[in-house]
Amino acid sequence: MASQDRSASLPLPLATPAGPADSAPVLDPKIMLASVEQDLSLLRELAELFFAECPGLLSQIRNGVRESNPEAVERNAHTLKGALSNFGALAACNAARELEIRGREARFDGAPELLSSLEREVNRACNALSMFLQEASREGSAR
Amino acid sequence: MKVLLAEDDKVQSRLLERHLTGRGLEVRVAFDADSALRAAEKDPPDVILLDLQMPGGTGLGFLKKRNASSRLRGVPVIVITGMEDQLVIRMAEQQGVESVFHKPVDLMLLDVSMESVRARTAARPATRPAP
Repeated sequence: MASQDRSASLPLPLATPAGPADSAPVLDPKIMLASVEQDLSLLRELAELFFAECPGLLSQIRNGVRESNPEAVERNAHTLKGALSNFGALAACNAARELEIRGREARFDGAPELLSSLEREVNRACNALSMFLQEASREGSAR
Repeated sequence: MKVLLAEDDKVQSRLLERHLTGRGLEVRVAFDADSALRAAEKDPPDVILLDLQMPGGTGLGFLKKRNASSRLRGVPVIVITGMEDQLVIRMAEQQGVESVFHKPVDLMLLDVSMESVRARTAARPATRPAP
């Protein structure tokens, strides 16, 4: 049942630090490729699903923070965290986790700042994922 | 073997659906707890993969309803969760679950758990309790 390991031929450029405030990587290609068992076409499909789902989830979290609705913040941050975890988007996962905890504890002090941090990290993760897929396509077509 | 996958995260559900169908399993997907329960009652699967936190009722609520249902009581449930609350996970285990996987799910370990369910399913008579 072991999957075929094609990772050696795929680009792995993205395990870069998110910045001084958070040392977690924007994306962890090893986690990402393990999630899809090295299948790039599945990774593309999942990325498209993620890009389609992400704005709605962020919007629900934003509304939840604005309206001080802990259930909405916890549930949507949790779902977003789960989706991000498939791509090894650890910095964004951490930001989503912080908001999920705030929602669970119904604490909204500092929540707008956490939301800004989440939006920034999700943007970075989306950009990095797009770049990774573009790079993988170029590698594939050059072969 | 028939699998009901109850998971609201569309990325995770597609990933698992693709993996399981690739293993020759018949997979139905429900994106919330209520529709998962309805789908399970209508056509009981051989195993349920259950996210503990979904819209339309919690996974714990789903497990209690499964245990109260004559059609579903014997159906094994494998929990997949991103929750870190150990109390909730212990409560799920007390409701009787096959195994618990944290996200992102280790697919090889999931295969082992599914294989264990498959072996038991193959060994038992094909009859189910009447509704």
